[in-house]
This record gives sequence, C-alpha cells and structure tokens, in this order.
Amino acid sequence: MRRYAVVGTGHRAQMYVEALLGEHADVGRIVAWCEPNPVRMDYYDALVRGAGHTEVPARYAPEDIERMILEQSVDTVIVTSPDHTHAELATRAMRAGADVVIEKPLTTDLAGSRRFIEALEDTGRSLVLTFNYRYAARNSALKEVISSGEIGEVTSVHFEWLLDTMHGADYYRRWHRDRENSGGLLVHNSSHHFDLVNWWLDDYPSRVFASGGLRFYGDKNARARGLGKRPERGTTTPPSHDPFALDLRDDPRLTALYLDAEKHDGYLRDKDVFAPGITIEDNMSVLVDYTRGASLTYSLNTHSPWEGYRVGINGTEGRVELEVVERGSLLPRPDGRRDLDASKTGHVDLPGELRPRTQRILVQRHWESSREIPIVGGEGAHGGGDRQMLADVFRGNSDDPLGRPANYKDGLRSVVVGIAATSSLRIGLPVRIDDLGLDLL
Amino acid sequence: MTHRRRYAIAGLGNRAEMYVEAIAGDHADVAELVAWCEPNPVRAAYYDARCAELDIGGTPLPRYEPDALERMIDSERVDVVIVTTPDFTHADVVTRAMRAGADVVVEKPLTIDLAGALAIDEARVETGRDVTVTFNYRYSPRNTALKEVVRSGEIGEVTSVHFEWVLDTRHGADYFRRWHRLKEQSGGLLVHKSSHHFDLVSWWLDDVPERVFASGGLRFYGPANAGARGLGARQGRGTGAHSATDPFALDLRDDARLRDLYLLAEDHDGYLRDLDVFTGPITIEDNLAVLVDYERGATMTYSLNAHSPWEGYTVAVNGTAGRAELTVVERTCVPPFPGQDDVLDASAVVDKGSVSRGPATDAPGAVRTRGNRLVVQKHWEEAREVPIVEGAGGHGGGDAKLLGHVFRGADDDPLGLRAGYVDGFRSLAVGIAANLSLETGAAETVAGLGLRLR
Repeated sequence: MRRYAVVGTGHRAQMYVEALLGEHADVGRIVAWCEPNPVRMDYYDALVRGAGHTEVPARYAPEDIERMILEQSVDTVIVTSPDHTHAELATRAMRAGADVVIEKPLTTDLAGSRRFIEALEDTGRSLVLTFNYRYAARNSALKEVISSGEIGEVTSVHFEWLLDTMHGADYYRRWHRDRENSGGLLVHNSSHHFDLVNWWLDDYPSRVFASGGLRFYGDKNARARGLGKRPERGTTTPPSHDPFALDLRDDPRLTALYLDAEKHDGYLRDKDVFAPGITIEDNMSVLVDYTRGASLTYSLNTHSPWEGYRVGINGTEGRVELEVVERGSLLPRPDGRRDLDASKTGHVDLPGELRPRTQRILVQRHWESSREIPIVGGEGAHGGGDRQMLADVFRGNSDDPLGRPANYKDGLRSVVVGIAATSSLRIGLPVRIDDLGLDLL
Repeated sequence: MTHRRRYAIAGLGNRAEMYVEAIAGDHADVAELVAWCEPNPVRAAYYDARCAELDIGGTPLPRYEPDALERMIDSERVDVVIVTTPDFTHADVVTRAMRAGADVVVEKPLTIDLAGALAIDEARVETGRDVTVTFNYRYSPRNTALKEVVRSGEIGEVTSVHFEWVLDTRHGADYFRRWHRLKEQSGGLLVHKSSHHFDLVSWWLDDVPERVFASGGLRFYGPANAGARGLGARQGRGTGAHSATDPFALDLRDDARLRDLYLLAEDHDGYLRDLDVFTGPITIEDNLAVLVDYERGATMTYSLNAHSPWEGYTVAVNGTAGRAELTVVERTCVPPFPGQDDVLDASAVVDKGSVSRGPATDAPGAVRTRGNRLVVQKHWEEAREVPIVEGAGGHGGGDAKLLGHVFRGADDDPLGLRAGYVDGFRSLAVGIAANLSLETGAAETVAGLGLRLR
C-alpha cells in the first residue's frame, strides 16, 4: 500500500482522489493534502468521508512539503498545483524522498526544466507524467497505424486544435490568463498535442518557429469590437445572461472549490474573458521540424464555435487522418446552461446536428482507396483514456506495446516545444532545441 | 462589327489551350488570334491543327521564335500577348512584350523570383501597359463562396487561417517529371503552386502578407529518397514498356495530346516531359510548411504535400464571430494504371493532360467522397452548410468567368475576382519570401523584398 499526498487540491486533483478512493484503493491511500486554502481541502475531505473513511488526510501548507513527506511517510506526491509551482514543489518533494506523479505540463519555462533534470539526477526518484491524451483510444489507434509502417516514414504533419468558446474561454478566466502562471497555452495546452506528435512519430523536435497573439479575448480586442463596459467577473447579481460569463453558483463543485474559498486567498475563478490582465495568446501557429526530417504545421484556436481536432500525417507510402469532434456546437442545454469542457463531460448532440460528435481515422496508401480504421473503446472521459492511464499510474505498466506511460524525458520533449514556441513568438526567430542545453535523449 | 483585339500566344504547351478555345469560341467577337511565339514547330503545328478544328480562319498562324517577340508584335500589330511559357521565362517575355507596345495576360505565377518581379514592375511603370495575372482558382465557385462568407462579416474579423493542400501521386508527381523539377525554372512549388493558394488567402482576407517563415524538403521524390527506401535501378523516363508495371512512370503514348505536344516535339528541342520522379536532378521540395502573418493581424498555417494518395484541400478561417471551413476532395484516389474507371476528371474538363485522370464517381460505400463542402458556424450557433452554386464548364464555371474578365474586362466585379499586377506581386512575394526563409532559416519580412504590394 503506497502512501500518497496530493499537492494542490483544485479541480485537477479530483480524478486522482477518486481513483485512490475507488478502483485503486487496494494499492494506494491518500495520507495528506498539501494546499494553502482550507476550503478546498474541506471539499476533498468530504469526498474521502463520502467514500466511507472516518479518518481524513493530514493538512500541510506548500512551504511544509518536506515536513509532510517526512511526518506522513509519503511515498509519492501527486502534483496538481498551478503549472508555475510544479518545478519547485515537485523537485522539493523528490529531494525530500518522494516519487512524483505530475499533471502536464511538467513546468512552464527553461529554468523549471533544468531544475527537474538536476533533481532527478541527484535523487534518482521516479517521475510519472500523466499525458492522458495518449490513452484516448483514437490517439492510440493512430499510433498503431504509424508504428505499423503502413504509411511509411512520416514526411509531414498538419494539425489543428480547436477549443470552443466554453472550454477555450475558460483559460482566460483563471490563473492561466497570466503567462507567469501558465506559460501560455503553447505550454499549458499545446504541450499535450506536441507530446502526441512526438509519440506518434517516435521522434524529437529540432527547431521551432511560432506566431500568434491575443486576437479575440481581452479588453483591447473587446473595445476594438465595440463591446461596452462589462462586469469584472461572471458571478454577478442579478445573474448575467452573457454566454461568456461563468457564474460559479451554477456548478456546486465550482462553488465549493472556488467561490466559497475566495475569502482565504482572494483567487477569482470567474474573471471576465474581456477584462484586462490577459498576457497569453488565443490564436497560435507553430512550425516544428523533427530530427528524422518531418515538419509539423500546428495551430491552436481558443474561440472556436466547436471543439475538436484534425490531424493529417503524410508518409512515404500513404497518409492517415484523424478527425475528432468533441462538441459540435454550444447551443445551451434545456436548462439554459452549457458544459465547460467537452472532452471531459461527454457532449450530447442535438437532433439533426450538422457536425455530430464523432471520431474517424482514415488510412490511405498510395494508389489505393481510403479505408476507415475502427477505434475500439473510447467511452468515458478524454476518449476513454483516463481509466487506463490511472491504472498505469497506480499499478504500473512496464511493457505497454504502445509506450503510453510517459516519463520525464517525454515531458521535457513536449514542454520544450511549447517553451521554444513561446520564446520564438517573442523574439521573431526560430529556436533550435539543441541551443536550449537540455538533454532530451 | 466592333474592333477585335489582336492576340498572340507565347508558349504553346498545354496551358495555351484554354485561351485558344476561348478566342475561338465565346470571345471570338472581341478577340482574334494573330500569331504564335514558340520555338518548337511541332507544338505550333498542334495548335494550328487545333485552330483548324475550331474553325479559326487564317491558319496556320505565323510563328515567331522567342527572340523575335518584338518583331512579331510590330509586324502582326499585336494588342495583347498571352504568356503561357515556362515560369522562368515570364519576366523576359512579359517585359519585352510591354516595351514593344503590347498589353500582357500572364499565367500565374507572374514570375519566379524577386529580380523578375522587379523587372516586370519597372517595365509596367515605364510603359504604362496593362498586366493581368490569371488566378483561375479565385473563380472556382467554392472559393468565391468562401470569399462571400468572409466579406459578409459573418465570421467577424479573421484571426487565423489553417490551410492544407494535398496533391496526389499523379498530379503532384507530375511536377517532378517536367521543367518544374528545377528550382531555377519554377521557383519550386512554393512559387509555382502555392502562390495560387497564397493569392486565395490574400483575396479572402483582403489583406497583405507581412512576414513569412518556411520549412520543407524533398522527402519522397528524387534519387536520394528512392535509394534510402531501397528502390532499385530506374528507367530515366516514363515512356516505355515498364510503364505498364510502374505507376509512377508516365507513358506519353497513352495520351494523344501529350504525345503530340511533347513526345513528337522532342526532336526539335530535346525536352523530355516524362522524366522519372525518382531520378535526378530534382531541386524542388515535395513537403512544404509555411507560416504567414498578415498586416491586419491574422496568421496562416499552411502546408503542401505533393505525394498524397488523394487530392484536395481543407481551409479553415477563424474569426472573431465564428469560423468557416471549406473542404474539397478533387480526387479520392489514384488508380495505379490507366483503365476503364480512369476517366477525365469532371471538375477540370478543360485540363486534358492525363494527370487529371481518376475515377469520376465514388465507389459504393467509399469513405472519402468527391465534392466541396463549405460550412459556416457562428459563435454559440450550430454549423450550417452554405450552398456552392456551380456553373457550366471547367472548374465549376470558373474558367468561363475568368476568360470573360480577361477578354471583356470586369466592369461588374464586386468580389474583386479580377487580379491585377499587385495581386500577382502579393502572392508571389509570399512564395519568394518562403523560398528565402528556406535558405536562411529565418523569418523573412515581405516588405523587405521591396515589391509593390498595394
């Protein structure tokens, strides 16, 4: 029975907490929370009690992470704190003798990356990065097509990711809206996608160029489009009917984790997406070269009317395409509300929807017709990926034929693309990964 | 009878045919063909025969060598020269024609490099002559429909464009058989092919490109790639018995037009139309990736692949009020060898090269189907399909409209379909800057080229 501590008890922690209270309760137990806000720990205590436990985890402040590991004999910390705190908290945990399971992205900048490398070398601790997208059945199926050699050696990848005006907008309400906290979406969100490409191609990035900007959200864009004065947050009295406003009272979980917790730290979870202070982009374009010779053209848009992604992979013997619609439109549900994250909750199509929720892989070899590859499984959160990933995290999976469990090198290889892209955006020059001085091999 | 303008055609390859037919047909009342400028007598004879078939009087037309262009314009009192020569000769032919007193209609791309573009601009300013670049893709109803959507403001101000073009192993491969295979002759596909696409984007967005970054390489065609994949010894050209078993070999005898225009013309100039795509030298790329920033703030992510198993394109335009997506499948698959299913591509009936062959209908239950689909979705609304109204003739009626503008002018052109020299420069500038970026490894500013962009 391994002893776990959860570092950062925001909404990201829930998947791990539930796994350890349920399916994996026989192999692991949560012994401590490491979190500055008591209200958020109350929320998770309630989950623990709800699972039938009378004893709740001990509470520690982030500055006491070493003491927590020592006093509670913690084997592994699960790090689900904001991205910019990852490097410090995870490396301190390793140096205090714990292994680490960490939400992507590994970290938000180069200094954080170096800190991880040093701590891992110094301590020999294990670090597991949870790239749940690899586990989505469709992404695994695409990996299998490429590994099989059916389309030959990959020559180029064209990849578009769209976040809709519910899920995408949500990054502009929270701590993510400040680059200092999130590294921007090229780090926070796209590093997921860069990990997929690295994994699909079994290759490493060598050069990155990026362009982009804040072109829809933010006060300047709103003003330029003639939007009038707006409330600074979505939770207002009387309630707003603006679809861009998130009212925390509409969701009991958001109320418990954030609205009720405000009095302790002043953190607002529902800032207006057109309010000042946003320092991240909402349209991003990236060109990545890989060491074996392929190029990737990638774009991320976060104010799309629908959510999903499309990737086309060209090879020397053919081509494969994956198209995913997670949520085809954002018409309100009968109760007038909309779900925040389509990939998590599972969207239900309206009758006659022109863009139904779908996933499709087409493979076509030179001189042949295209054929559809069946995608087996794929029910549940993140295309069915979360369940298998949690099993691998808590029970281990050393011989996965698809190589889905990701180690810190995988984390570095993906986050480094986001970091390099962010840097390229700023300086207007391509960034060579070799010049960053990180050992990616 | 109104005065008919006197046209000469320079360069009698397969590109000339559309213009010959237009002058013989719909525009015979305003245009007449008076001369050829072409070094190869066999190709001129082919077009003389074509004219006779089309019942154009006065054939055979006088044929002039390229170095006698000025004399032709003078002696034949040529008003307009239609330039359908290989791209690398455009600048020379266009500037000389203008200086000799003719207007010019030139096939895209305007020219292949910066020096050529600057020379054309200088001659244009000096002579006051008119240059029209024929961007026929604009006239394709699906592309016009997307222009209308963007222009209507329905999706708001454009913030980004994601654009992928795939050329299949017949059409795409064909660039690696012909003069296009050398960068100094075609500018590579970034200039020869993508400038078409860059023109569409500038036109759709009504914007000017500002900065370009590119990556790419020759990753499929060419001897080095073939060697690395273990392909054995190859025949240097496609015409031969081996074409029956090698789908990449183009046998010029299989197509009467290719036979007449090229195989039978070889004696005169030694030009081979059917070089092997896996035999060098090839100095152009077959996979290209480009990022372009536009002045008003949008960014385009673009890729071109020239060895796809199917042909078409997908373009998505994100705006501040929604998004538009155009998906086009021109050919779902390429049959390896000419056969019964292998009929002319229905969307490009004027393009008669064998390169446009492919199944015109979808097999029952096919997962990829031919067609165009334009979908528009505003924020918080459902997606809806925008109908694309096709006209009669090649490219959904687009060719007929283009030719109407070329021969009769465009008095009523609310969408700005008719492209002038500035449009030619804008699109070309992206291709040139992308080529430069490939060389330098840096992002290149378009303004830095010093071309007239507005």
